[in-house]
Amino acid sequence: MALNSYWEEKIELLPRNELNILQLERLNTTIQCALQATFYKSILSKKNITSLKSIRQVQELPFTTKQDLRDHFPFGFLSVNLEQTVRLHSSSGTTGNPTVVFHTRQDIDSWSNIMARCLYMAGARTTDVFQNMMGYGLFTGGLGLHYGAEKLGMLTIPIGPGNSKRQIWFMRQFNTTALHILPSYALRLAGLLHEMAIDPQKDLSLRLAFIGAEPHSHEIRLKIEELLRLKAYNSYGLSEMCGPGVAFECMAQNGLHIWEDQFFVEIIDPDSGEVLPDGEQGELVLTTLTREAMPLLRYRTRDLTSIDPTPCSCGRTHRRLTRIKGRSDDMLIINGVNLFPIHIEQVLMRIPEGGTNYEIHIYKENYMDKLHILVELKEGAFRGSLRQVEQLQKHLQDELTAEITVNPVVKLVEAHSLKVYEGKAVRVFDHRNE
Amino acid sequence: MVTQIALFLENKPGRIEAVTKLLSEAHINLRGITVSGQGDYGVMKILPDNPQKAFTVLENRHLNLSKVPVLVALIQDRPGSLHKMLELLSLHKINIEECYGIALEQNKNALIVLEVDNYKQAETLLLQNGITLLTDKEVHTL
Repeated sequence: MALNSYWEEKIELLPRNELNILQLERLNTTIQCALQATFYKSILSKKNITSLKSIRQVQELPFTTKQDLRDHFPFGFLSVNLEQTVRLHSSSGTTGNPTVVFHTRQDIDSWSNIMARCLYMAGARTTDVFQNMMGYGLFTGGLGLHYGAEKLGMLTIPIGPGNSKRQIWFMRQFNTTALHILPSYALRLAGLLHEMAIDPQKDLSLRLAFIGAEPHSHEIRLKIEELLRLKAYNSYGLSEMCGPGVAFECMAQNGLHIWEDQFFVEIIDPDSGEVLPDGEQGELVLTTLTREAMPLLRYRTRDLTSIDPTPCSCGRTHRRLTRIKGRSDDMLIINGVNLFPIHIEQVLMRIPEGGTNYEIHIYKENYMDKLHILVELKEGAFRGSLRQVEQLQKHLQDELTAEITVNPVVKLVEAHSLKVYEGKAVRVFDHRNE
Repeated sequence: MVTQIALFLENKPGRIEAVTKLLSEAHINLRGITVSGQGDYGVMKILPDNPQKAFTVLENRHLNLSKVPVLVALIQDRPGSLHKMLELLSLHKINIEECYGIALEQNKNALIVLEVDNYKQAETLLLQNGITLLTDKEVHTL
């Protein structure tokens, strides 16, 4: 497959100076659009900003955080009338306000288009059969790739996650060539194929996998490629921008091109907020350039990465993000689901028998993330039977599963048996890379 | 009625010993003990000679514990006597949550410790049928 074949050649190869002009134009359109939202109207008018004369002036704009989105739930960021919107996506969880993102028809169209651009860049063509193994629904992963794959013209199988045997059956019946899959699930699937004596090389037609939604190392990618006999491409996105499609790897597999005609990219020092030069690692800050329903200015993604400005062998002028290194907040990603420890804490605190001390441990079990939550049984809450403890554990487990949509293992432990910290408590123990 | 103390303990070396150490230092003697494990944790149940003192000693060390009322029946240590008592309970649909036995003197008497779902009914029933039920004090002076 040719490295220099493009979905939208003109925009993908646009010279940097022209890209900058386009960005400034779109930044100003975006600011005008953002001024229609109550949140931006109030903060931009305070700063007396209505347009920018140069791209550098972006730094005069205030940052937007996830907390701002929550605080101005549900419509504070909406820039259009509700009747112009056609869809919303939302973060999981019922404690506190979720992060809700609205889309107009044009937002969905341009999202589908950049998604198709990503998939084409990774080598997907109309001849491919695409099995979308990500969750559909409020989560953007499933629908995002689905629309992009249809836009590109692949035969799309909207199977969703889980039920590995059925997944394999579809792969064999329809000669699936491309997968959208969690990296951890890809490894588990490889294990299952081995157990079923199915040789991916001989028995399957796979050639591409789009992997994302959870951080993974270069080594994991190589392992997936080797075990499933395909090429795996890293996908990056976040629902606040649209979802997947924000940045994607090309066939050179050396960093993720971020679509700079759609997003204005900055890297900042997460502590000082100062903008860092290309090549330095910091927090990714994004400004939408074409979104209508909910434009976001200088949104702090909390993802830690750096920008690689060097020319890519594929010829695209859009710069590349290096592999995501982690988070500048405490967000956890468990099998692709975003999770904040505070949500777990809020559920635990609702249960009168639970003590105030708890620990969250994350392990890799059979390539999948497994959450273990240790909770102290409060002094005086024990009524003398094993059955009570079992029921309480089950109750906590059910409550947590309903809240965080991740199925945890809850273990009650003795009162005062967990470590107490003098300063900031350490409650999250990630054992996945041990 | 006899007071049994139940403790919630992690299933790991040293936890039971931590309890017996506290009791031994407080000169508390045990008439009965049972431990049941369930994976990562277990429940230890003890019949101390001085339940109030034992409870205070353990509570002061912030352990997860609870007082559980039990019936302690004194029966003859010979074939059929346990069966006769249990038959009586089952006939009246009284469910046994937990039960263990302690042989007192060989071939003479035994104690049966019972946790039942309907404590009052079971007590009346056993007493009416001539089965000796011990009090806290009697267990203490045994």
